[in-house]
Amino acid sequence: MKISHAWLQSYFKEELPSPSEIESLLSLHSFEIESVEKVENDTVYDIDVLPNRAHDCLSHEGIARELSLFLPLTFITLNIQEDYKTCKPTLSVEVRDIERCRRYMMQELINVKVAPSPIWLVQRLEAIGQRSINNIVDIANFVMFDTGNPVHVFDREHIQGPSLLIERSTPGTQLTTLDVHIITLDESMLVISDQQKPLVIAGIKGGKDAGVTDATSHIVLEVANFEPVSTRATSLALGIRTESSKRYENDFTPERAPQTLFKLRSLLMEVAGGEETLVSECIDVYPNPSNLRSVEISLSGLAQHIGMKYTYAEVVNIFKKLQWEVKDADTENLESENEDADNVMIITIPHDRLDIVISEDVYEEVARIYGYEKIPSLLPTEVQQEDVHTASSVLESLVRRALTARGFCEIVSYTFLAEGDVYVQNPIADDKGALRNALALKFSEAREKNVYHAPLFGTEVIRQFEIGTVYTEKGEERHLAMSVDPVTKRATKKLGDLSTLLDQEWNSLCTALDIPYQTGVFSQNVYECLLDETTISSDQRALLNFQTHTQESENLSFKQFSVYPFMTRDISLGIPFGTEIKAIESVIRSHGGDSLIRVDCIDEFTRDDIFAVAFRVVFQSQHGSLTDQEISFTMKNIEDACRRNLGWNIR
Amino acid sequence: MTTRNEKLEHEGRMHPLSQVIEELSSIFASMGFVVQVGPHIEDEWHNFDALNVPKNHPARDMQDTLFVKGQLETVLRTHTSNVQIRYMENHKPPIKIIAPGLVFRQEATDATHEIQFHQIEGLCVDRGISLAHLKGTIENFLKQLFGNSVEFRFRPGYFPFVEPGVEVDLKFQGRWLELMGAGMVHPQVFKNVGIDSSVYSGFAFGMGVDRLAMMRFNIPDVRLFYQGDMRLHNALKQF
Repeated sequence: MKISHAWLQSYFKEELPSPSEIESLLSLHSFEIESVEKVENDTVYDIDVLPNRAHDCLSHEGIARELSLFLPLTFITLNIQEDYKTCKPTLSVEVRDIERCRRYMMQELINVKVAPSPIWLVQRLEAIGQRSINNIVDIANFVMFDTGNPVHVFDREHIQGPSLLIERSTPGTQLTTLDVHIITLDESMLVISDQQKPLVIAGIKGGKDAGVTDATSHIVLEVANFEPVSTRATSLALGIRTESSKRYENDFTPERAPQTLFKLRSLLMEVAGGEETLVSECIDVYPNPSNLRSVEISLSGLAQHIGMKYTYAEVVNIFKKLQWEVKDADTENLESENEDADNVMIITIPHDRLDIVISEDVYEEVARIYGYEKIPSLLPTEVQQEDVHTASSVLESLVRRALTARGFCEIVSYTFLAEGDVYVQNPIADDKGALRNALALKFSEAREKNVYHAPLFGTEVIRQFEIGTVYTEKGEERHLAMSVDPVTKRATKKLGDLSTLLDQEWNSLCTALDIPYQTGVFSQNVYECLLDETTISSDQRALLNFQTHTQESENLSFKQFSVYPFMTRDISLGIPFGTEIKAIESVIRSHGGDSLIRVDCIDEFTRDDIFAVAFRVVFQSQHGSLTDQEISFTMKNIEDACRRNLGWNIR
Repeated sequence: MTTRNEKLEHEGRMHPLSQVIEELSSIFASMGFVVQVGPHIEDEWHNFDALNVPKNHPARDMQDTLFVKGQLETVLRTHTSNVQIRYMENHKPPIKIIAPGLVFRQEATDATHEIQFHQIEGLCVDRGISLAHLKGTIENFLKQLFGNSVEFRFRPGYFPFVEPGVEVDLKFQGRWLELMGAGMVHPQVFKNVGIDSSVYSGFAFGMGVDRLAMMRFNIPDVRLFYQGDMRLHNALKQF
């Protein structure tokens, strides 16, 4: 929510501290500040009001009240002597749904003048990103951003008949909004209607028909309170979310209406009124007034919950700043200076603070206003709880460590794919509509990609595994998937049948970990088996304590890899006996240019009296795709350099 | 004769997320927490209602949920807090658990958002547990993870299942970064699981593992974790 510094200043007699100090105070004691931005002669804060404070803080007044808790400033309340010519209202108000319309205040102003807004008003609205329209519409907007209570202004000339009805819509009725969208309403939606048609979707958006125009002179002011849940449902159903609906959704007290109407009326009189303006009597339909709530707390309860002692004076001082009335339950302890006395206090919570319901809510207020930085750091006393680590995490940790020790890399793949046993009602994409019922499919896709990238890693075998949940008709299971993929001929020859190899690997792993072996399934070159936590003995569970984590991870840092394709070239050389492989690598490297990223010896053999080696050279650029031509040129350089060594022959 | 250049094998490595989860688990285990897990497909009671998130409350806007087709009031858990509820339903205090695991959200993916990611949550319930104990536990944890000079702070936060609720910020490369949400277990949550809040109190905390792993290894994009792409492992170099 955007909050203007100059607007906040209007609430205080003394000058506010600098924006950076305000940012720091609010973020440590109240809300996160998303940004602080200079706008012409003003500074605008983007404040992320916490959901439980949206009742009272989605407004400049709310934020100003927060600031007054931490700053020794004098809060100014609007004090205008009202001396208007009055008249009888021309409209009556009938609330037909008192559950959804908790309060409706209506007042008419006759003989007002629509005009451009004064500069102060334009500046206030523009600072927070609102466009100025005319003095009347602008004041209505201003009052919402100021008090947090949305208001509406009708043109009386376009209200048919003698009354305003607050009722559920007739199904299928249409309404044209101020921004000229035609909306079809249903019977779940609350509207403000005249005798013929709906004029406003209650708390959400006004209609074009009874809106203020340049010709308007007789206006009707609405300050109401609509129920949050149904307002939100209507807003969601229509896909219309406004500054007004946002405030109603979050709920605020109907008790705010009179001050809001007062502010709306007096500001309208200031910018659009005159000698001849008449102010009607106010109509206030408020069948079930809110009751004040009180909460009982004790100093010992506070100290216990927060973990530090606050004195009676400190606590009372915080409540005073909050304007919360405090009574001591035990009158004998009244004004007790005795530190040891456990004062039980009964606090009357102002209507605005819908979030304060139980004593813990009050403890939070004390702790955050006093400062979380003042709370000490304590460790809970050691207790011997009966339980140990859950079996599945123990088993998985064992398997994970054993497999990485055997040269396997752990991957994590997506849970979502196109088909499975369990489907999602609201998937983010059609091909992510189901939960995997086996690891194999996504795992195998990853395997293929990794085999393709093998030259980048300089390996001849890709070994990978994944431990993850699969979702079947039977429920959730934890699975292990493993694969071993040779990427060179000699590796293929060496590894033999992969199904047998993986089965042996799993079998020997089970033996090493002392867990029962159950054969897995081999398909798509993936060996997948169930990790059955019930096979872990209680002795094994008790032994594993997660305290043997490796230190190696601490010094690892990510180096961005190139997203461009790589190219490989093989080079075979006949060389004299005794030539160091490293020496040849070094020659290749120093003539390979900037895009050479790897040189790996992939073969060597001796035939008759010739010793031969083969290298794979990998090229990749951080900046773009390489061309065949570029690489051929580089390879020629490498070959020429090799030939300059006595006895090296390119084969 | 030359030495044969044997490069048949690569080095085995855990996934960065597993490395972080094992590291966090080991730190919390050293403070007496035990690791617990729970289901990914969860009923709304354990994912929302028991955690004091009422139906139709705008707080449910904060996490856009994936719902399971054809199963009433069933979701893919949006946090591992369901483990806390299930654990408290079946165990008496003292309780000291951590719950690492996969969670899901219905949201557009980008460099910092994924529809699947990992969380780790902690819960401590006993007689006399206070916000100061939460602070001490977090401080101990952060010092073990980032060293003794680590700087952190508490700020007001809101989660329906705790009161007070705090955000924990960590000073990282000169800036304050949101690291976790935490607070004192709300009495209504205790009531929902049958623990007497006049006798016991507790704290809970939760953090994103992916974000922590990104910070730890300097990884720029959360999506890299879930591609199964070993270029990720290969790009983690000793410095």
